Amino acid sequence: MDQITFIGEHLLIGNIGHFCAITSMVAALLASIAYFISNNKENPEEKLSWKNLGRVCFTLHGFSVIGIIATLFLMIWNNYFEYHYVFSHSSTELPVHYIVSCFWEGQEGSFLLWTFWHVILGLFTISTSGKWESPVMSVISITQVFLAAMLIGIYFFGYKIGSSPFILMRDFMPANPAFLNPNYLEGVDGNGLNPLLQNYWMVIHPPVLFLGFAATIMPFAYTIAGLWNGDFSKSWVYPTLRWSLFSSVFLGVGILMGGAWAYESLSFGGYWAWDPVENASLVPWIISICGFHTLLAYKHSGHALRATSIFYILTFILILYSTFLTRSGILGDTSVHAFVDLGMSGQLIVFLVSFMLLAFVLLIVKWNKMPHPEKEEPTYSREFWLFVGSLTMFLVSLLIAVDTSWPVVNKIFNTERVIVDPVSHYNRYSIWFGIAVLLLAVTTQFMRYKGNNFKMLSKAAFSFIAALLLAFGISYYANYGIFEKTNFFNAFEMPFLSPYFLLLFAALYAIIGNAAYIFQVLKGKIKVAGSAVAHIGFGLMLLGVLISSSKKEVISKNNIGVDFGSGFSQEEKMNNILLVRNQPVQMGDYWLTYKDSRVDLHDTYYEIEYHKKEKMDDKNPTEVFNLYPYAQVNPKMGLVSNPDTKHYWTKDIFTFVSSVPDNTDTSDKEQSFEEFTLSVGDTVSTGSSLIVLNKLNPNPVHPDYLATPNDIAVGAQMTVMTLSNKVDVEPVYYIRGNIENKIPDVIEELGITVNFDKVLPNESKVTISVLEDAAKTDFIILKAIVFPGINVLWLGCIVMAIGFFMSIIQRYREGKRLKKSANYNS
Amino acid sequence: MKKSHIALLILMAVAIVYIVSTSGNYSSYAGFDKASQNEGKIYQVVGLLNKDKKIHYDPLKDPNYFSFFLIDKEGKENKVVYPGPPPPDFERSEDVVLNGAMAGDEFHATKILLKCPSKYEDGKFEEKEYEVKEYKAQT
Repeated sequence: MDQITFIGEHLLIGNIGHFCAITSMVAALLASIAYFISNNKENPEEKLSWKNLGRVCFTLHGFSVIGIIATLFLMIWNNYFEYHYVFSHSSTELPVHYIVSCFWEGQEGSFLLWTFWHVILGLFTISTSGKWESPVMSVISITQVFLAAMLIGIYFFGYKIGSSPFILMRDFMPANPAFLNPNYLEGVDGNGLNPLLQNYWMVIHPPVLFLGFAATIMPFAYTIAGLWNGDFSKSWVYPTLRWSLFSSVFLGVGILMGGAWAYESLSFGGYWAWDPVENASLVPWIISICGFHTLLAYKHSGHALRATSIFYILTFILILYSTFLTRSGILGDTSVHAFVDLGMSGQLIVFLVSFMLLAFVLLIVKWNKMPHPEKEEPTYSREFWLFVGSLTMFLVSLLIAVDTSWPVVNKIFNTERVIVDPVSHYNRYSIWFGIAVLLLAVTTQFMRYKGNNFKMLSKAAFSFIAALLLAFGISYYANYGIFEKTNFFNAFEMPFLSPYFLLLFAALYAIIGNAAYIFQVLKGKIKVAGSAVAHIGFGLMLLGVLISSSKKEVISKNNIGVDFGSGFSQEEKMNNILLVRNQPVQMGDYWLTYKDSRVDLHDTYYEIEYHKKEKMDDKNPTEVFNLYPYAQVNPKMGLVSNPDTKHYWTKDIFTFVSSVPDNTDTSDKEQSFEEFTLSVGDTVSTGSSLIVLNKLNPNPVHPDYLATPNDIAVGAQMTVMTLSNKVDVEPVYYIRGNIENKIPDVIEELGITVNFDKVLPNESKVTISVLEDAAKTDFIILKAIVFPGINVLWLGCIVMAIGFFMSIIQRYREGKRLKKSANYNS
Repeated sequence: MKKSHIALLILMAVAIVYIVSTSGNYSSYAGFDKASQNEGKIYQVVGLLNKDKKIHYDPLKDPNYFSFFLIDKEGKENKVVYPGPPPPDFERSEDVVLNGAMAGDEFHATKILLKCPSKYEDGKFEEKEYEVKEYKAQT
């Protein structure tokens, strides 16, 4: 075959990138071997020389990763569409600030981001971890080998390893006839970034989430290092605890940003949908939290080290599992935001299984050598209840993990199990765990390590009673659970066992109790109050979840329409409302008017005017504001809707356009007039309006009708009434020189055309015909939801994150002080 | 760690009770035939949109009524009603996954999941990707 010389390709940069990818993998492999040997050597000199080799290799690996990133970035920046990755994720039209987003939109880019954070964490470990460097770096380096393998894209015994971001279009689809033309690149533009992702969240969310993902390797690597070297002294506890807090806070903030993104700019109508992809990062997050709680118990009492190790190992394994879930295409039927399958499922399974085997075999071998006191912990000691609390959280995360894994189970066992209504399903059991964890998050604070101290525990009684009274008070006014019938848990119709009430009480108890703890026990020493602050945040968060989800209300209630049976509840079938332009419609306390639409580049903004008033003709609304939800009618994606939200302190009004008329496609719309015969005073009903024939006018006035003396002319004066509008029309019928003529009257804003067709003098009736042209009518379908108390949720999340950072600082200081003391290494 | 073992056992028992008691929320894939036998019980039905029959949505009359005909994997066709606007790109969809229950002759869907071929065409390259889009009637 003749070699075609293609014009305009940039092959060098791709080769450099691919070379960096291979170097990064080889260097990581060498680094892991060198560090492995270093850790197993007894002789300090040999140990050091192998360690130095490991450092050199890892640094080389780091430079290669940065090389991959730089080349890929340059390719995207310069629009080199001959590369498949650039073609699929970028386009010339893309605004500059999204270039960075399309970098990590694809699987390869997001793997790179993950790898990059590992490099940073690795370099940090090299410079700060002291005697832990070799074992920890062995683990990080071997992980990097597996991650780098995802990007090399070479064939190995017929099996493709990885997916290279440097593959050319013509290698990706060699059979495409476009490549017969040497100048195929001329005029090519990329596919661009998915419009759902053209959002500033897509710029900040992935780096934070992936930092959280990446950081879970630190407690995992320390656990492996501890097992390997049989060292669980204080010098192991402190860095592990710090890294564990660090990874939890970033993973948590990453997940939270995902929720905020979904809430603010996607029209999912909420911040959490229990989607498999969301669950896949929630589960390791909860388990990492279990991990540092039991680690605290170990630090103070020597108990629960084995549980801690299991939690940290599982956290990392579940991060790998979540990678498998989201990237193997297995969630295809159940999730909205999984990646497209790149045929790497096999490789991902190998990655997952290798680490699982490595970690658990090591754990089993070393199980009996791990320190474990023979003496039981006292029943009212803090360590025991930390353990119980962690176990509770661990259990709920296992339940969520099992329910998220049904697609995998179905695949393996050929079953067909699905969860029909995920939100109510997960809420139903997680609420009980939430209650339990909240209660423990206060009560345990008032306990001492290594002993029963009832005097301190009794101090919690104050908060318990205060929270109980407050919960009763709030319930009385707001009807949470107590006075409202709930079929939530049929066996317990007793109101005080309603989970809503209990959750309200538990959340208040957590908030009040932890605040009181800072003063009662810590005597206001804020430096050591990290845990109390984080627990207050947790209480606020669940309080916000409770208020916003139980009192969430769709206000775009549509009260007209066809009743289509009992299959749907009243609620479900009225959630969208039709807004015809300039016709005010009542919605809850507000009157809404769709005023205008404005096209801005790709997006259409819809101006919705909200008036808070009782009656439509009220001249003085108590409040006026505009919301601008927008939609992108994208040729590739269909309608992509972005909500706009009015924020109050106490609630949010969340508005989005759920449908717009399809103006592009009018060809197959039926354009037929409907005929009616009626006499004066009659009313006929058309699809969307009522028409009354008021009077026949022998001297019609119509802008298109020019009277001549011999005309016989009649105008039919009619009133067209829709739900909110009343328009007078007068179509004209006239005979001029034996020829019948008609002049229709058109109501533009309603898209209604009325014709006066015939006069039937014998019956003293007339015939009119009406055309309702939906396509011409300017309307939108809107959905609006009120979320009360959503700010409590966000505030809780922020407070919780602050608490985490306070704890990190507190533990860092503590570790630094202890480093000087004698028992640090024992 | 005896007490811890007891705690573990109690929590496990709670979890098992919960899994058993919530098993009503699980369902399985089914065809219209099976769904008709248990009217009102929620199933997940996978099928193809019948593009020859009327896809009805008239927002001026009722913005919360959308109906179409779906042919399930066993080849049986049934009318489907969904209380909301049609998902964008609905007519281009290939596979449709519905959650819902039979009510008389109609299947009332509460959730629609589409698999759309998103054809990327610019005259030169053409790629076909499937993406899943989910639409829920409930809030």
